[in-house]
This record gives sequence, structure tokens and C-alpha cells, in this order.
Amino acid sequence: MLAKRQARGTWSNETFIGYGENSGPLNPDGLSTFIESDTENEWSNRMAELIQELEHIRSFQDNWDGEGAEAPKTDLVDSAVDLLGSLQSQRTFPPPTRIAASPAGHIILEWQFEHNVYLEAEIVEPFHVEWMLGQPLHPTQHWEESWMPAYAKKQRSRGLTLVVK
Amino acid sequence: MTDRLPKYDSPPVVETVLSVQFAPLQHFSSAHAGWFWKNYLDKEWGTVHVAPRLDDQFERFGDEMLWGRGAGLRIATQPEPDRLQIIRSDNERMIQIQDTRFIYNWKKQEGSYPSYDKLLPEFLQAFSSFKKFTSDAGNGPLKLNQWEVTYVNLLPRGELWQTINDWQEIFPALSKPVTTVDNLFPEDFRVEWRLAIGNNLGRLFITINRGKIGSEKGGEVILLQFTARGPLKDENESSLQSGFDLGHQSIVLSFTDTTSDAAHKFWERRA
Repeated sequence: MLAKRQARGTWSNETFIGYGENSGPLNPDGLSTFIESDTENEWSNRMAELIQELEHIRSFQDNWDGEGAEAPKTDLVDSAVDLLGSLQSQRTFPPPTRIAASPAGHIILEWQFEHNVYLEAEIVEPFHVEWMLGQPLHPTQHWEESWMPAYAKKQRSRGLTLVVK
Repeated sequence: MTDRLPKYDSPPVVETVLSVQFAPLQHFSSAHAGWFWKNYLDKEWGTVHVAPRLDDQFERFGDEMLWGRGAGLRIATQPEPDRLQIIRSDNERMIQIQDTRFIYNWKKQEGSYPSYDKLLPEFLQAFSSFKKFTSDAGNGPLKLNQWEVTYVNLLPRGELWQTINDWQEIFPALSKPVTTVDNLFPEDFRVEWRLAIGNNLGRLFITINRGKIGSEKGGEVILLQFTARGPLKDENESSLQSGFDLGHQSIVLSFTDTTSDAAHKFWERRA
């Protein structure tokens, strides 16, 4: 849903979601025909770079910013890698614009969309993310989510999916 | 019914999907999927792939439609069974099963589009086997809730179009935005229409996208996809078939209405 709203450029607090649960075209995964879209290309081109940035962040030590920042926690970096993989599998969601570490040792993924719309995902615990959505003329929204990691999916018969709604 | 619909000798369709969704089967696992594959299908269905399950999709109408906050992640809190893709030896047919869906795909290979009139009986026969299996497996009668028909059309670059400026020759209803700014040229566009079918009978989604087939090195195409889906209140097979007929009719007529006479000529329209 985030991606669709971004594509349409109509961000709002209330979205008309009531056509039905997951109302829309058939999920491309249900087809044999595989079409690589611009968004997929974008992910393909950016993913290696994003992982590299995360590995660089993983190497940060305490006081990496010279102002007493905590070193990023390994399991939070792992979680960020997992979240990126899940988002990449959602064909319509673009890769983050920037990845950073916070002074508290958290991992932050940022998206800067058109019309000054800003989305931030701060991974504060393993596989737990705090979202922030900012948009002009609207109050900033905050919400939290947890997800099951991909390695657990594999161990448990790929039972879980993370879906951007 | 299909006799009155437009027909094409060389349509751009490359894949069709007939799908029925039902209430979750209480006892369904990869073992059950394998049981169905090995005991209820012919040997020509020789290849299987395991894929993540598809989320359920529902179309709501009238009082069931609501406003709400749509942003966020949907998190499943416990393991869910996979989807099994069972592929026929000629790669032209695929059956997909999961705990809430039975899907029948036709995928273009060497042969031409076999027609809805041929694919529907094939679906019904395979679905009949699946219903027998679920009964034998102790899951009782299926509680059907949604029918779905999808047609995927590919329009390769070089056939009917070379640049985005040619798209309007294929889709007359599309128009470029009016602008007075100099040096502003359209580079791309995406379209998604959502249309209600009849009086709460279903919903039709028409999407137009540009992409590449298979990989970055594949040929450039316009992807024109139609998905029709609607609720099943009555769980008998005639309701399901009526839904499919309605979806198919909506798709064929919309395909014809959406595309130009020149395109119809290229696709060898004969009726």
C-alpha cells in the first residue's frame, strides 16, 4: 500500500482501503510470466551497494561519531539486511534512499519521496522496526511493527511473509 | 456467451489464470500437496516447485467498504503452508495449490492461445480432482469465497510501438498531460484502472506497465494485464462458472474497448 500510494503520489492519513483485503491485480508471483520492472531494476542495482553500506556500519566502534555514539548492534544490522531482502521481494517498493546508524546504535533506513514525503524505518530491536512518515501539511505518523526473520522462514518451511500494505 | 465476444487469431495473450479462493483448509501441509500431486493427477504433471503462498484477496462492495489507515506491514505471526506449483510436461499448464487457493495457469509456449472454452473445462476437471482430494483428506467441502480470472498480454517493442509516443496509437484513451512547459517530453507512464463489474458482481483491474521479459537483457515490452475478481456467495460450481464467465467477458470486451482498431488488425481480429 505504501508503494502504491507513493506511485500515485496521494499520501494521506486515511486511504480508501475498503475495496477489500488486498484488492487489486493478481500478485505477479501467481504468474509464470516474469517481467522485470523499473523498480526491480532499481533494487538490483542498489542492493549490493546497500549491503555494503550496512557492512561498513557494522564495523563502527563505540564513539564512532566522536560524540559518544554506541556501536551498532550486530543483530540490528542483521535485521536491516533481512528487512531489505523482504522489501526487495515486494516488487513495487523502492530501495531506501539512505542507510545510517543512530547514536543509540540503531539502524535507520530512509526514503525521500517526491513532494517532500519522508519515510523512516528505525530498527531498534532485532526484527522490530519503528516507522515514521512525514508529509507536508499532515501530522507526522509513527507506528511499530515486528516481523519474523527470513532465516526462521526457511527453518519453518518458509511460512512467513512480510508484505508492504 | 463466448460466441458473441470479439475473437482474435493472433492475440498478444501469453498467460491466463483461472483461480478460486476458499476458506483456509484446516489440515493442509506440503505433505498434503504432494499427496494430491501424486495420487490425483496424471503422470504428465511431472514437475513441482514450492513457492511462498499468495495472500488472500477479497473484493468488497457496498457497506463492506471502509476507510482506514493502509500504511504498514502485515506480519504473519505463525508459519503458513507453502504453495505448490505443479507443471505439465509441455510447460503450457500449471496447477497451483495452497490452503486457500486452487489456480490453473495456461502459459504460452509453442502453441497458440487455446481459448477460454477449452481452458474452463480443463480447470473444472482438475478442480474436481482437488475437491475429491480435500474430501478424502478429511477437509470436507470447500467453502468458496472468490473467483478470479487473469489475462496477461505482452506487446513487444517493435510490434505496434517503438517509443512512448506510439502508445496512444495502441491505447486511444490514454493521453499525455497538457503542459505549456518547453522541453518537457513524456518518458514513461503506468496505468491502473479499477472498474466495478455490474451491481457488486466483481471488480476488474486493468494495468499497463513497461518492463523487460525475464531479465534486464530481455526484450522491452508493454505489459497489459487484466484481473477480474468477485465474491462467491453461493458455493456451488455453477456460481463459480458464472463468475468465470463474467470475468472472462469483462476482460475480453475491455481488452477490445481499450485497444485501437489498428492493434486489432495486427492481432487479426475476426469477430
